[in-house]
Amino acid sequence: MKRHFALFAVIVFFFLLFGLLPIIFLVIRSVQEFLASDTHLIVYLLKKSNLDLIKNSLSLSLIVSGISLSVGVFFGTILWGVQLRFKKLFKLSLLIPLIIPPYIYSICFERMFYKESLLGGLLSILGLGEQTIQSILHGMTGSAIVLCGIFIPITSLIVSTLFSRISSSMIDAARTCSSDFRIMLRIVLPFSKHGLISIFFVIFLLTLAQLEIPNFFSLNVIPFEVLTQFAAFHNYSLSMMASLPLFLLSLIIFMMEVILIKKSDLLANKVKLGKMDLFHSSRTLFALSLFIFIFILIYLPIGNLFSRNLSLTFMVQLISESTTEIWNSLYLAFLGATFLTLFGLAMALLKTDRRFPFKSSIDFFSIFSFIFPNIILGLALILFWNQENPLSSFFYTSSLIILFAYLFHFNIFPQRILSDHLKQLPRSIEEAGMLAGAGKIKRIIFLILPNIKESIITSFLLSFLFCLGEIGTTIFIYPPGFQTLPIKIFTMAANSPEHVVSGLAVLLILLILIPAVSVLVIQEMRRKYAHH
Amino acid sequence: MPIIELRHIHQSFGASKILNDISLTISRGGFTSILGPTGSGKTSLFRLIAGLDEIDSGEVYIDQRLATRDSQILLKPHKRNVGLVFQDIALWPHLSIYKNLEFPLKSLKYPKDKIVKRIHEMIDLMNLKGLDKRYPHQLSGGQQQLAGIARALVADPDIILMDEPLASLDYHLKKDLRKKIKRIHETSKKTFVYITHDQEEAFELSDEIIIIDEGRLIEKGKPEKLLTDPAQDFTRYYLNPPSHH
Ligand SMILES: Nc1ncnc2c1ncn2[C@@H]1O[C@H](COP(=O)(O)OP(=O)(O)OP(=O)(O)O)[C@@H](O)[C@H]1O
Ligand SMILES: [Mg+2]
Repeated sequence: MKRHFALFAVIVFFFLLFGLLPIIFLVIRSVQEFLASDTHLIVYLLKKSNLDLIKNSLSLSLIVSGISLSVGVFFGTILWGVQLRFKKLFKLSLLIPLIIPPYIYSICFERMFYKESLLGGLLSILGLGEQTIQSILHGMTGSAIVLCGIFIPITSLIVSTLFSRISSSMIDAARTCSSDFRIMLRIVLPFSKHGLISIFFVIFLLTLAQLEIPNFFSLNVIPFEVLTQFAAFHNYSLSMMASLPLFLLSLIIFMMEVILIKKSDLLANKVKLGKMDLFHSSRTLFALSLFIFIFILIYLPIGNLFSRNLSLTFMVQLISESTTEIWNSLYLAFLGATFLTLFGLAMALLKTDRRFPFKSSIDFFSIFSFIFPNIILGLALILFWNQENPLSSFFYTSSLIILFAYLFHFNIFPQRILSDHLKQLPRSIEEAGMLAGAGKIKRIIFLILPNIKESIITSFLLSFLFCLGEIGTTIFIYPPGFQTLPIKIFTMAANSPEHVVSGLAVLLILLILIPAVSVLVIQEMRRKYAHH
Repeated sequence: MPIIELRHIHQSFGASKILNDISLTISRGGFTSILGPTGSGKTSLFRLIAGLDEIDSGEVYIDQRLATRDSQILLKPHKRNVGLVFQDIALWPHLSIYKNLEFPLKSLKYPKDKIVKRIHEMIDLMNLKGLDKRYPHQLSGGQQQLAGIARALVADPDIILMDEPLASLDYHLKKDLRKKIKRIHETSKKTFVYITHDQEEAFELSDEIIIIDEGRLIEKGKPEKLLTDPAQDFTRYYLNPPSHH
């Protein structure tokens, strides 16, 4: 137990130093600034352009979370309850947008309408020229479509796992007296309502904190104002003020999440798994709709980017010009993934230990740090740690600060993957070791870790992917001269030749695909192994 | 006139055969029990009568209508007029008991005033008074089972399928409920099909008993006949296991 508390103390300490304290510091400073400010700050805040900013941010978030949830429920229903061929292939395809960095995805999406590409060419025959489409996509429309393209797939997958917590006999009981549509409306959706609302809030918040995509389509939103005030005008106080509404909203939503999670626990039921066969007669139509979505919003944009005549020599040249950035990215992602896996493992071990009194606080930490807007985290970290003392400047000038930001932002993924696996392990594994006289550390290293090694590798690779694509926090805190590949693409996109940006995007996607395919192979092996 | 008729039903899950060439009829208004060892296919038989599962081959007739042919469900479950009591109860946990009873009635488009009246009838019948506002997890196992039965009966189905409804109850409640079920059958004149492990139960309640084993129909007949003059050795052995007393 002593070791438990020590480990827990390390985790809490970390959250304080690289999360809560900087954030609290940021809030206090903003409030101070506000109180000390002359009227021009208040005038600034109430300026029409600022109100427009808030309006843009809120309406984009509302549109994206509304559409993503509705369509996600539709596709989630199909993935969960309708008999489909190639269901696994559908599910795998829906995972792709999760691992492609949002900014790269918007590049792919936009390029899809260039007149040289398949869809763009087709549309220009129909009279919709490149210019027309660009002007349609400009601003809200493009941002909303791209964000929906990112959030719908992952929402569909989460919704389908949410629904699969409903016992199959509950559905059968409803089928003896009701049509499938009514079962969805009255049994399935109400049963899962806490989960669905919680998904809505999370998408809302992630959209609210989105910097790269609205920027790409020149839609002015709060995070972009935060960055501009900070980076372009070096006006920290305005930057902080701009981040305040974002901060308040995320706090409110976090509270709601916590309440929702508590409520949904009440409905936990013994799940009896069974074959689902809803909407039997419409299944071809449903499969078709899912296929069209996946094709147009996933395969077409990404495939299109690859098909833009990027010659081998050009790519080689690009690689040689960006070796530093590639190296930086890989180095950071590798370190980030290592730390994240270890950290996630520590959290998972504590969370799954029945006797540990604070085990429920682990999820609290993870959820808070995940839904907290990364752009505010970036700002908070730099204000807190960019000080004139040796320790601060050590964290700040080394890339360590980026690493800690990743650790704060992404720990929910390794933590969940590892604790889910740990929960499934029979308790006898550890008990047998205990009887054999092995100490706790020995038991973990020799008995537990070997049993969850696939999950450890999966956690590592997934963390690697997320770190590799991160922009929102990194852009605030990367030390001078330590650019990553996504940051390079982000800063170059506005004023570089189109094919250079496309080429770099292809490069990043390739860097991502290698670990992603490894995750799949490992998962597949694990499944095979489990069957024996 | 049989209300349920099965013709040459074959059913398998993957490589294992669950039901093997089952043909039988169940007559209208009767009380038929299905007896058989665990894993013999009783629940599977129920599910295909209710239209919840497809079959590999064979035909299911409900009320003279072809309801399932091979892998095609021609008559959807909610059009078959059956009420089902599930082995694992399967009340909807997010709905109160009242709402659990209301759902079938609303789905089948009962008028509002009739819905309220009918639910109260069922609550009285099943001794659930005062519990209707509670959620399933706030009831004891026995009360949940009562609510499950109430839900199966509430929409006044022609056929009532019960899958070991009394298995989880204590002795006294069991006897009590057995009487109640018998009374409901006698007054309602509905067709009851009843799965049980418990011979005493089967003999007390039913006017016909079907014995199945390993997915095959072994024998079907009146209780007294099966007990005194069974046609199959399995029946004799199953109903009168050699005892050492
Ligand atoms: N979904 C399924 N997938 C695979 N096999 C199944 C499935 N459902 C049932 N079975 C198998 O079919 C056989 C018959 O099962 P069934 O549930 O009909 O038995 P039962 O007679 O109701 O048993 P019990 O008295 O224990 O409830 C069993 O061997 C069971 O393992
Ligand atoms: Mg059964």
